[in-house]
Amino acid sequence: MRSAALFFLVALNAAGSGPQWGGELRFCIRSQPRSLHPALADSESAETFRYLTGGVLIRVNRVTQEIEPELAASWNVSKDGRSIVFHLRTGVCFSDGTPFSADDVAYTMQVLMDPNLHSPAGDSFRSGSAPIQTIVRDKSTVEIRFPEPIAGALRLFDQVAILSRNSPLHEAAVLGPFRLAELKAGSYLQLTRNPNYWKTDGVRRLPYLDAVRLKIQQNRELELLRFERGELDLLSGMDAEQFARIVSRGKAWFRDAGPALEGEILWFNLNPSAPLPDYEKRWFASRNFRRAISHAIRREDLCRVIYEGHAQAGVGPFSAANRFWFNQKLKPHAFDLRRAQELLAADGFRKEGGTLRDSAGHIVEFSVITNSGNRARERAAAMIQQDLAALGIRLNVVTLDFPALVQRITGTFRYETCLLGLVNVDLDPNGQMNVWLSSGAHHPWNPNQTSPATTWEAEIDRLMRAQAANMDPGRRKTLFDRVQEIVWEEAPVLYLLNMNALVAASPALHNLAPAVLRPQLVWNVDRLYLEGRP
Amino acid sequence: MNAHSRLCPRWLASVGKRLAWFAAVLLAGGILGGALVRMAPGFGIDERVLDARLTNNSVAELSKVPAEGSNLAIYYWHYLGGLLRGDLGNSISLGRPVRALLAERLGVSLRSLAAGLAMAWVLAFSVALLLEIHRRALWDRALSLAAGVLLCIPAALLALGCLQLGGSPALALAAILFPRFFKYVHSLARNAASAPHVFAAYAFGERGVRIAGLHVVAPALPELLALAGVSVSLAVGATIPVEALCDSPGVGQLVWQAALARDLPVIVNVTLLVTAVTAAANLAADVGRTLREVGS
Amino acid sequence: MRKAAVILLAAVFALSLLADFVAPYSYATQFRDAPNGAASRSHPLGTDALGRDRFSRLLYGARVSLLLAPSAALVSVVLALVIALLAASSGWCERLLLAAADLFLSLPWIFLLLAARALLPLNAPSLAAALVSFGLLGALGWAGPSRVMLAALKQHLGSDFVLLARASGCRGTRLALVHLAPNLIPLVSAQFLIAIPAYLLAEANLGLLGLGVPEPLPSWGSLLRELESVPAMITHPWVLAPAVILILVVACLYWAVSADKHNV
Repeated sequence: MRSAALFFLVALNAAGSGPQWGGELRFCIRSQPRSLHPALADSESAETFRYLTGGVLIRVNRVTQEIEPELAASWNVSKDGRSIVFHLRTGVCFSDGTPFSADDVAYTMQVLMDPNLHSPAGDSFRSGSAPIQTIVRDKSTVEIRFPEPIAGALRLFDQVAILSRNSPLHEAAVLGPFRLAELKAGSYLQLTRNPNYWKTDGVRRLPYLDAVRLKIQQNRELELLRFERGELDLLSGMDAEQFARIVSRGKAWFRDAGPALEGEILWFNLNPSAPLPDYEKRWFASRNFRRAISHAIRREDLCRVIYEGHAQAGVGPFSAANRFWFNQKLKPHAFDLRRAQELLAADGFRKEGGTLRDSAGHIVEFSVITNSGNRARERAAAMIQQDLAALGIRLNVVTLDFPALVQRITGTFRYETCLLGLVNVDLDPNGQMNVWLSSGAHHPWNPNQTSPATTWEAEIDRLMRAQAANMDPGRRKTLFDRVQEIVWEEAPVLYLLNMNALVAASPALHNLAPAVLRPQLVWNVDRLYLEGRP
Repeated sequence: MNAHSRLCPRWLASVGKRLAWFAAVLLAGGILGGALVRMAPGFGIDERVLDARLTNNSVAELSKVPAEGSNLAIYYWHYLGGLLRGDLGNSISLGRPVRALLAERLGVSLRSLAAGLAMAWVLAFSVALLLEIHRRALWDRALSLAAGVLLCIPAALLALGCLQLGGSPALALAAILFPRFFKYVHSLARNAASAPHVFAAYAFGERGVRIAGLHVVAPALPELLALAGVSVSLAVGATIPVEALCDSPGVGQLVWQAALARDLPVIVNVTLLVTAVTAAANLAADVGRTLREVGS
Repeated sequence: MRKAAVILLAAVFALSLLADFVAPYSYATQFRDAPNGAASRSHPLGTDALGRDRFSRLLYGARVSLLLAPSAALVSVVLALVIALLAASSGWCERLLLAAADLFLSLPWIFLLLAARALLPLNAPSLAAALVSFGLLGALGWAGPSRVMLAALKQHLGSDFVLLARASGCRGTRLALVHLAPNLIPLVSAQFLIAIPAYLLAEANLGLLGLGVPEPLPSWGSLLRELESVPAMITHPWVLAPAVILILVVACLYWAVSADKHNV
């Protein structure tokens, strides 16, 4: 009788009721990371590599968007927001067997804050001029002190992979589920399981998978082809055409996970020193003009035609995917040609024989620059071109290769408007401090101002500084809601749309929990398992 | 005797002169390649400046023009010095020695190049020969047409098509090169085969294969050698776009990425390499032509 | 065979010139309710991703491509002829030409194209931007044809009629213009015809770098970019139409050339 029960148990297991151990997960990254040092991760591929290999103190759950304990079992944030005390897990070892302690956290912070390193993750911690202090209280307690309070600083530790102070392998000793086994330049990164990974399924050490192969593949069509041939297990960030193809084949598991944080934006060059004619600068400086352009763009068409419905009209800097910070009261600028014409008329623009002229008689013609090689973006530009033609505006589309484009928007300012993608790594508005402050290098329409050029920019500066210094989430939300409203009203940047996260995976892959935040499908990689693959 | 001793130094002088020209062309190629990158829009721009997490300080630091670009002549002088010591400089965008970058990718490229060239040559050669041996007008028409159509398809499309069918970069390379070689080899074989001595051989009742070997291939040999030189340079030129399109981890892909990142040291090195191959191939072709003229 | 090729070329050329009358729609009109539409009575070759009529775009694209590619080819061939004649004048010149040709064949000219495009004003008309790119391409493309022409020139220089001309006191420019150039005409025209398809294809690749013909003006190169996604070809075979026409035109040009050669 007992043996019969045992037999049934074995049979059940064989039928695949529980997770299977082993197997190799294969998927693509866009480029070979410039550096594998976790503090220097600066691209999506480098961040994916860091996510798979690095151990962090806390993790932002990509589905619930809540903070969860990882290497820090618990933490306390002081009331004034100037210090965080982490209580670390004990008995954890790096992949090479070196024990993990508070010293490693202190060392990591020291490396991260090295002013010569220019680490993106490190720079997000910088608030004042004074350095961040790290105090090791004991082997498993460490305190981080900030010179000024930073609201939302805790979330930033999601991007900080802990380095080992003592391991002879330096940054190759890791605390994450996988470690690097082999790097074939331009071809792939082979990861194998970290034998000392601290998480377990109750009995055995995770991850379920034995290995991950990150193939370096820039060409999305080839990636799709390889997926269809079974050479890859998952796809994320697909465009609508590719998604439609996966759906029509019906062989793979697929999902539209809803609007992601990524979006497409168009902004006006409001830089007073830009080499543009004065009358053009006057057009762009006018709120009515900017709003008229926005009201003339059919955002619904962009979403429907280019993204086949897998996108939502854009509202502001955050999409609805950012559950806490998105301002629910705001709606996209509606397509309203009459309103656009009224706004233009209020500024003295008039239409003569199908051509719009300003009050001084100049023909309204300007260009939009965008990067070449992005099909969806080039199509969006062509659609906006036709939309604006209805107002009598001639829009010229200029595609430039990326370095040439970056030089224009950050150096020479020889451009009129720019159409580009928006990437948000951080859910917290503090991650966008350099975008919203008028003095910021990333203030898209007019960067590095010595003093705010307009009253509304001065108001945004004030609100952003106030929310950063406040520790009450509700109060911060009110302040940032106001920032979103000002941007909506003034429209220096037109938020066109937010793409949905389109993902697909092999049916053999289990425990998938697609998220709109990156890395969309592998954020729970230590719990993913493959069925029927040795 | 006397004539011979006078001939020898002349021959040496001519070789010396050619080599000097070769070196001059190489040097000019390197600096001109560098100058082209230097004046391209977006030189010295680091895409990382768009990372919104970076502070103004970091952005300012990243926006500095790399040392290589501040004075090209000085850079080139230092580079040539390093070159003599086997040091090719450091890549700006990848931050690693160019020598290591090239070393880890050269193998892949050489393999695709060799395989693609071999496939294209063997196919072109054997098809042309078979046509000469059997001499069927219909076959001739059909194959010329097929090669002609292949020639008319954009190289990028051919490469993509090969990939879609599961082929390797080598196959794509072969598909691009085959029609070009075939055209030459075919007309060469045709000319050789219409020579009077071949008709005579037929009249004497020799068989197709023997004629092809003795009377068609052998006389065309110098021409074929010259063609081989040019074909290498043709193949090198085709490798870069094919590798970039196919995401093959070879030098071509590296060059493509370097071009997009305005990576001056990588481009200078690769320009030198490509110039060397082109100049050498053309030199070989010229030598082949000279040999033939001397021979005739 | 040659006649058929020439007739076909003429037909395509005529259709493209008459695009204003033949094309059912403007090349820029977007029928947003019918993107990626199948071939139908109103859209004989279907519509593209933005709902633009593919047939109309093909016709207007032919106009752009068939205007620009031959101009670029003309520029490069004329340049090649001049340089080859110069090179044939002395051994020193010849060596210089050969070295320059080697350089021109191996330098990364793409950067020059990028720089030229950056110098253009942002609101330059689409056609002007395309003209600059093609003009530069043409100016840079002399090296290959020049080598071929020089080889032929050297053969002519050693031939009896040139010796005769020289013996009767014909020198320099007169020799080049009266005796050498006319004999090169078949070769030059062949090189010209060979260069046209090369530039047609080059334009397709330039588009990928943002150096091609800017939106919404169509060109064959930009139409070919639709083929990047292959599955579309299987379900929507009509997207292949631009590629088929391009291949046909290029093939006709080659036929014309090879027929030319046999006549020579």
